[in-house]
Amino acid sequence: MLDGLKERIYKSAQIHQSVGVIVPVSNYSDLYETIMMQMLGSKQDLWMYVSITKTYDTITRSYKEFANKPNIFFIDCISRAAGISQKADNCSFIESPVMLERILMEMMHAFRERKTEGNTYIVLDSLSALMIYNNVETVKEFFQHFVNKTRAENIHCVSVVIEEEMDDHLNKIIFLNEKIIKVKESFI
Amino acid sequence: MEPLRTITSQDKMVWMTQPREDVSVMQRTSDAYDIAQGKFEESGNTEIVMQTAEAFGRGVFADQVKKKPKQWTMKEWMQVVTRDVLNPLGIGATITELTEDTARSVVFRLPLHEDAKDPHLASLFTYGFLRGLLCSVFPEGEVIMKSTMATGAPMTSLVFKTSPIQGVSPERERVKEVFTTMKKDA
Repeated sequence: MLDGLKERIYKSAQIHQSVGVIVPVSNYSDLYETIMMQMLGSKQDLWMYVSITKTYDTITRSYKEFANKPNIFFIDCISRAAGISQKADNCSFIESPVMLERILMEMMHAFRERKTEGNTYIVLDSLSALMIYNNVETVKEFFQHFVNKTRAENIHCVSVVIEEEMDDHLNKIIFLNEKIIKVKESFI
Repeated sequence: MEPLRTITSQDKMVWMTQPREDVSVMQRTSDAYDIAQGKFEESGNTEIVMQTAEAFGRGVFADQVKKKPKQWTMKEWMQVVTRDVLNPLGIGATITELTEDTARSVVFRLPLHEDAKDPHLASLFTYGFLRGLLCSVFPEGEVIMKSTMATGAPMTSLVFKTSPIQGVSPERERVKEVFTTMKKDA
C-alpha cells in the first residue's frame, strides 16, 4: 500500500544528499511506517533516526525488530527531558531537545563508530517538533550545520516537516535541502 | 520532584510531564477502557464510550487528587493533574502554553493508545477521560482536539480551556462525530 511513497522517498534519498519531506498531518503515520519499513528492510546501508516526535520506547514497542538490527541507530531527544530513564545499545539519549549541538556530536560520533560498505542515511523527525522547543534562529543555525556536516561526511539526510505547521521560517529552513518532496494522497 | 519540568531555550519556555508509571493506576485505566470497549462492541455507540470515559476521569480525579488548592486556575489544574494522574499513567506531553485559563499541549507518549488494538477507540476514550478530569474542576471547561495520533498525526494536540469558547459549537459533539465516522470507515 505504501510502496509508491517508499519508492519516492528512498530513491530521492539515494540520489540527493539532502531531502526535505513536507507531509500533511493526516499522512504522517504513512510516512513514518514507510521509513520504518525501509530501515528494517535494509541490510547493507547504515541508518540513523533522530526523533524529537516519539520516544525510543514508543518506537520499539511497535517495531521490536530494531533490537536485532546493528545497522540502525537512534537518537532520542525527548525521553530524558521527560524523565524516562532507559538504556539501549542502539540508542543515544539526549538530555533535552534544546541541546542541538549535542545532537550533532552524537550523530557524528555514532557514524564514526559504525562503518558500512553501503550508503549512510539519517532521518530527522521532525523540524516541526524542533520548533516546539527552540526558536527559529536556533533551528535554522542547527539545520545549516546539520546539512553541511552530513554533506561533508557523504551522509544522505531526510528531514520531515508537517505541512500544516509550515510558515515562512520553516519554509526557508526546509528549502536548504537539495530536494523537496511534498507527500500527496496519490503517492500512497 | 516537580510534576512538570521546565525547558527553556532563549525566548521559548515549555513544560514536560515526567511519566512515572504506576501499575495500579494503569491497570485501573486499562480495565475502564476494556469496559468502554465492551459497551461499544455491544451498542456501536460512541456516546457510551464518551460517557464511560468522562465518568472514569471524574472518578480518578476524586480518588487520586489528595491535595487541592483553595482556588483553581488552569495552571493549578495542570500541575495537580500531571502530578497525580498523567505522570502515574505514563503520559508524555509537552505543554507549550500555560496561562490562568488555557493550556496547549502535544501528547507524544500515550501507553493506552500504544497498547490498544483499536487506536481510534483508545483516542476517543482518552479524550473523554481528560474531559472528565477537566470538568471535575471546571464544569464548563472544554478540551479541544486539534489533531490526534488516531488520524495519523505525529502527536495528539489538545487545548484545555476553563470555559467554553463563544461562538464555537461544543467540541465534545464534534469529536464524537469524528470518531463515529472513523469507526464506520475503519
